[in-house]
Amino acid sequence: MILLANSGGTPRAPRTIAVFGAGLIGSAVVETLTSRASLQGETIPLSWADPALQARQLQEIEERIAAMFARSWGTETPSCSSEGASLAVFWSAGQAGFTATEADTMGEQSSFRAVLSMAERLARRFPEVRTLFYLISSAGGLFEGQRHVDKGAIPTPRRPYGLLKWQQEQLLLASDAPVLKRIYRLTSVYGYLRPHQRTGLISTLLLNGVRHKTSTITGLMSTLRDFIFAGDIAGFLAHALLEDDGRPQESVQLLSGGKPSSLFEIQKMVEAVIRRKIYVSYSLQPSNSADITFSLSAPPGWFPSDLRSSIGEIYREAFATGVLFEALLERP
Amino acid sequence: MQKVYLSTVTPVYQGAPYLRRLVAELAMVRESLAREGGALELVEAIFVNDAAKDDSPEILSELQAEHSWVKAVHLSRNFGQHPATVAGILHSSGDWIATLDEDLQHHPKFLVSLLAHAVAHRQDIVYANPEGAVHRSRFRNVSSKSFKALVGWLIGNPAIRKFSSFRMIRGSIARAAASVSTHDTYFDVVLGWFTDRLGSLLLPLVDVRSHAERRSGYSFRSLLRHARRMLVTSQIKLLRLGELTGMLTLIVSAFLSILTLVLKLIYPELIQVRGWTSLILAIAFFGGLASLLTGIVLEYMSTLLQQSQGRPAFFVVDRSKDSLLLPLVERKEAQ
Repeated sequence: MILLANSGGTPRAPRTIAVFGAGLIGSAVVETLTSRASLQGETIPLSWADPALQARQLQEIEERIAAMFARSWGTETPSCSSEGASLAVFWSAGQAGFTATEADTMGEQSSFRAVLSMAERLARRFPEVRTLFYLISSAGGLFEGQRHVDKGAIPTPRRPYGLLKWQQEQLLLASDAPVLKRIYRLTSVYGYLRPHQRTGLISTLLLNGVRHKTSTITGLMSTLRDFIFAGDIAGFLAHALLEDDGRPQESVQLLSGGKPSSLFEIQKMVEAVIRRKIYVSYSLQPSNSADITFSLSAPPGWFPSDLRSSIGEIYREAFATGVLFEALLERP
Repeated sequence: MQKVYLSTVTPVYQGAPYLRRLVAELAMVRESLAREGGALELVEAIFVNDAAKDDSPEILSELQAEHSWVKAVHLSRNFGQHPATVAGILHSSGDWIATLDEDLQHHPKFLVSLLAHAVAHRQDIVYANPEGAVHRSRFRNVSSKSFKALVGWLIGNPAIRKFSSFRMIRGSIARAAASVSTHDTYFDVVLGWFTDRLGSLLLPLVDVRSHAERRSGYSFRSLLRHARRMLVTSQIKLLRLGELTGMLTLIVSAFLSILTLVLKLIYPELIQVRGWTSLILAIAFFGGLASLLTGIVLEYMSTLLQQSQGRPAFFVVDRSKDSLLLPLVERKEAQ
């Protein structure tokens, strides 16, 4: 996990952001936050596999956050000078993907409970500090097989992954601690290529295209998805994290692009960007072929980018950072 | 209940006088389908503002605010009818997509008939063709038909006669064709890369704009533009004819050369004029060779062009949801 704290510009209003899960979304949010605000980040090890070790590490993180507030106020007991202090716990973790089994999701669920409990304890311990919990949920998991989903649609998860996200939302909303709850339901996310990080469909197609490797898709050529760019999400969420005025008490927002794209369209776009044919194998019995489409969500400040230009940007960035060359060197 | 979703796509360029009426007509179709309670639902009407030169963008914004199912897509400049249609299709999510003009020449009341026809005849595309003359001008009607026949012959695609901008297309095929369309491709020819199940339905279509305003939305220039696009997108039959002619000339000239040589050797007295025969044969031989090689080069170029335009090796389609529309087909047939 990554712990971000402001670096002394406003000592009377300490701001701490604890990001759990530095994957596609988490890392993009941290990058945007550190570039926009005077926040310093520190990566703290957290075990996702060993519950006992995880509990100890979370205890240490909790104490470290408490110490940060205490240091900012110059005393162990925060009092009158605590105005504007905030703690945001940002959950974008999750190894479990769409194909996860119930057993796969159990570890993630217990980790989520542990982090939520830590946030609740901190909120009770420092009532003067505005504590917020940001949960990144999956619209695809919640609304699998539904079409034209809008903000009023009712989640009907079909598989353990969707159920996991639904239960996480319910757990957070049921919390009676003084925590402001923010849930963001994201449609299919694509983002920059990062080595050794879980990549989405588009990045996989780009990477495999460059390496002349076949990509296997567990959907049909005509399967529809709603893709949104991690860069747009990061910009939107960073703004939300930095400017949250504490209202309302809880909110659930859908972040969608509103433009359905077939997997065939994505394949053709990637081919156009990398200027070569890519090898794609579509499953004969696709487990993930149901169309999921969304109406454009329009929370203030949310402006999804054009798919084609974002794919081009990912490709250019991957060239500039050398990720593509590394991928080529890895070629067997 | 499992639903079959229908989207409509309308490119808008100078549709201000018609847009409200068009949306009202679409709303009536939508409500009537909802009342019938069948599987079909008109789920969205997408209007693509192709840098309209009248008040259409403002009207579209108002209509979008009034109706949740009306969606406006605003293009950055005027790209033309086909690119605008492609943009609309790529924003759609329906199982079936109907494309129709802004000026009510393509009346929404025919949407269900087109769809029922497609399902009943197991087709992926159904074009609406006019029962009678669609335009006021006889010249316009005749030139349009002759033009289609000529281009159809040139590119060896008789389906061109059916082409019309009022079409009902299976969603997955429409989106796939739109995905590979470029600024220079002819959308209907590209649709033919993905399916050969296409039909047409005769409907009483009237060019409302030309009747009301005494002018057509199309000019001779746009007709030529259409022809150019069709030729660029298609493999031209004429090329193969040229190639074949070149090959035949080459073979005949080679045969005649051998014959002349044999005659010259056995019966030298038969050839009186010196040089003429060999000159003609050399011209025929090299002319044929040049035609054949040019034809082969052009065919290579045409194949490369189609590859660069994204002509697929194959495409997979799922038609299983059509069975949900059988009650609708029966109802239409009973009428």
